[in-house]
Amino acid sequence: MTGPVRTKASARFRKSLAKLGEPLASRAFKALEKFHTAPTSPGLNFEAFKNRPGFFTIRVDRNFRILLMQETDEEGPYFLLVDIANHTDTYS
Amino acid sequence: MGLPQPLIDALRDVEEAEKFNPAEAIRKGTEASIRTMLGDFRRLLGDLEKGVEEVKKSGRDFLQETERDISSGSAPQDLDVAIEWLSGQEEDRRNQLPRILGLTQELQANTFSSHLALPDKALVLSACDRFIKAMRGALETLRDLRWNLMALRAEAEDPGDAPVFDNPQDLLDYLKTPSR
Repeated sequence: MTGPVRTKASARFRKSLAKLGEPLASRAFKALEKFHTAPTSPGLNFEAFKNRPGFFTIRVDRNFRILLMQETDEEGPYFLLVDIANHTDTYS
Repeated sequence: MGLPQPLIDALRDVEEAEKFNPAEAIRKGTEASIRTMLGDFRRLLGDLEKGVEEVKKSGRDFLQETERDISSGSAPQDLDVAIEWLSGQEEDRRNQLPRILGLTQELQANTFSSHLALPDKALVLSACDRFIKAMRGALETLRDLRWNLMALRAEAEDPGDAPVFDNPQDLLDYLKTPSR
């Protein structure tokens, strides 16, 4: 996948984003903007979610990720923004 | 489906490990105190590693149970509660981690300069490495279980009626508008 992509925000994603507030919301906006135009850019670390076909994640910062689910409508595939939550990458 | 009781039980062993202060015994510096500490530390490490394995197993079981519920068409009732609980457990442990890493590093440093025999030093150092690995393993397990449950929940719930955007600015404008 080289981009550009289409996205839809789930109700849960909006709720989680509002709950997290700033500065995380701004970081999430930057990540989503980049994802739309260049989904495989290295900083996003776009990757398939292990053992869950159809699910992917992108990095917002060192501690937060966005969970995505690939869906299809009449115009083709798009990514549903499922949720945004803590995903500390530095345990291992 | 409620909170996974086996997981709650397994996490108690991890919780016990967080209370241990091995560096204190080394600071006292007597051979007896160090030997006692070494015995306690190895026992605790055994319990911790067993606890982490239990956390992994009960997490897998809970995930499979949730998958079965979802594929049979029944939406799990307490998934939000379980995800919140896991998030809280992980956060508590994540906050403890710097202190535990500091203590373990202190223990490693003091072991080097102690009067312990070389084989005993090697035992302590190896136990320290295993201890840190087990603590990190517990955190990773909690995180991965939570994210798997988040994905499962997405399969079962209505995503809402937002439009599909092909322009990032439109998406951002939409996200910046307070939802009704």
